[in-house]
Amino acid sequence: MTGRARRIRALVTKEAFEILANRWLLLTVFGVPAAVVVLTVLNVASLAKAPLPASALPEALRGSCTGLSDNECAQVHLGRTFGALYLLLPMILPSAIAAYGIVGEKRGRTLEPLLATPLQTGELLVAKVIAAVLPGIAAAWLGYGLWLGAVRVLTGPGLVGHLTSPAWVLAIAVLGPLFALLATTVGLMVSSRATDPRAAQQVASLLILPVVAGLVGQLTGAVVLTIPVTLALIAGAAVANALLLALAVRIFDREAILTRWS
Amino acid sequence: MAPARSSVPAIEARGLGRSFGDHVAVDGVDVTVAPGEVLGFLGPNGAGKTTTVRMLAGLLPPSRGTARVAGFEVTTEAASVRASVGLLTETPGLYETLPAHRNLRLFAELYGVDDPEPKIRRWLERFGLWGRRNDPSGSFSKGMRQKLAIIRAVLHEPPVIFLDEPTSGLDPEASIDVRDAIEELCHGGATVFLGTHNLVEAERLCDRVAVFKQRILAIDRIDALRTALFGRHLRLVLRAAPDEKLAEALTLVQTFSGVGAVTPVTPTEILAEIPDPAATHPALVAALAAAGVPLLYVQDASPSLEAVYRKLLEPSLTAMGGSS
Repeated sequence: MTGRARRIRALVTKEAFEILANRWLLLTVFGVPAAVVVLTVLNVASLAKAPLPASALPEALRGSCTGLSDNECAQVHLGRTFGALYLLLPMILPSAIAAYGIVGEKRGRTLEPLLATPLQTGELLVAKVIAAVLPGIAAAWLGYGLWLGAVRVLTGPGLVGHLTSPAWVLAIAVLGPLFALLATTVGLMVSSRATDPRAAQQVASLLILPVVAGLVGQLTGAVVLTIPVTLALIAGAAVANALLLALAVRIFDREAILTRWS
Repeated sequence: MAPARSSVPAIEARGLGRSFGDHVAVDGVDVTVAPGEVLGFLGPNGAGKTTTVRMLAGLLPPSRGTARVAGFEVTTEAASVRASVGLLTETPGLYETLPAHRNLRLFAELYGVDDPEPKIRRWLERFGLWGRRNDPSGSFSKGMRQKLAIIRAVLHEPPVIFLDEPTSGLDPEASIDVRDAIEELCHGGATVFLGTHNLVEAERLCDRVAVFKQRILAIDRIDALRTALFGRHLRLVLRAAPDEKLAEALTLVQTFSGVGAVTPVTPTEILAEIPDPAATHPALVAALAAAGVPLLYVQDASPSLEAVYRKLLEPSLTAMGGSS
């Protein structure tokens, strides 16, 4: 293992220990996904008991339900809409951790000893991003799996097949983590300039808005997640991530942090 | 501890300076510290000690001048400088929710220490913290935290150690405890750069001191600074003696070779300036005893380091409007 990898691993491990030692943060990391799972499962369960009329579906969606009954079509549609919450989850959780990432170090006066080591700015930020992103992604994937299991139990295997189309699997597996990286990097950028973790978190949470817009589009039938759409989003998110991380390293001002926070 | 034993200075700065906007924090520091030397960097709050330490430790780029630390240039090889020095910051900056051991483990890995566990154990045992290794550092007393921070700074066995106000804010007991710990480091052979305004600490630990306010006002051994500023004085205290004995003693001291100005202070006390105490003291005492002068005791009456410090900083203290 190179010195760089060893330093990043050391810092990620430290972050993990700190998260585990912080009960409130743990509650956020695992409480929110648990609530989302419960909410989405309850929704599917209620739909299984009380079918929706076909007229409740937007025209654009009814056309995509070839071979399905009106109720099945409604279940697929709502299932996908709620499934989009699992694209949001990896953004919400890491941004909370990331927002605290640098501000927390500043407030604890721990940043100067850290910056006094051979650790480079890029390594510091990469470690912070990894430590913030992993719990969120793990929680989102776990929640998604639990939700699919519950859907299968409540409605049978047919609906699960529609909810796990290649485009959706790709979105949950790749797009969600990329969104999470975006939110985390923005959280860290703000955190490195801000004095209050709440300010950092609020700014980072603004990134959720485009995804929420996508979710509304999904609900109205204006946006349908197909393979080309997903791939385009993945490409865009990957480029945005690379640019943002480079920008984050650039605007991380060691000097200002040292002189203002010691 | 693996000190950098070579003819190359451990620290060498030339014209090192740092400004923040229009404010000049450090102005032209010239200093050379030999390997294994303990240099005290004395100055009041706001003198620029921390800024100097940060520049030398590769944390803050200087605005002007150059410095080499442990063989590396602080501007162009800052990462190598950081890898080669240990820095105790003014506040311990520990991760308070994490156990002491985890705090040390993190920094051992960041510094690339091979097989850190035996070293962590040795240092924790040495500083009496092994039994508390699994406790969160936030549960430690101030002195214990500072000792843990010292271990963190030296765990990678750097040849150069910067200690910035190591006993600042500690109660007397914790200060003594931490000072003992630092003394151990100083005897370990590393070069120590001790930024402090604690004169007792400097007097006890340092080979040389630099009195500093924006720039170095004077740098030398404490004895040499005393002599340069005040001369060397010997206080001769006689038993309650008849006047003629005091007069006899005065005459003897005044005419003794190697003695400068002589002043009677009280009816039983004489203050004599002696430029070379090692050569003069024994002979003078022997002569007084032979002459039957009833000597009660002989005392080195050189002024304290505090007096030296105040004298050097006098213009700035006056400018600040007080001498307290």
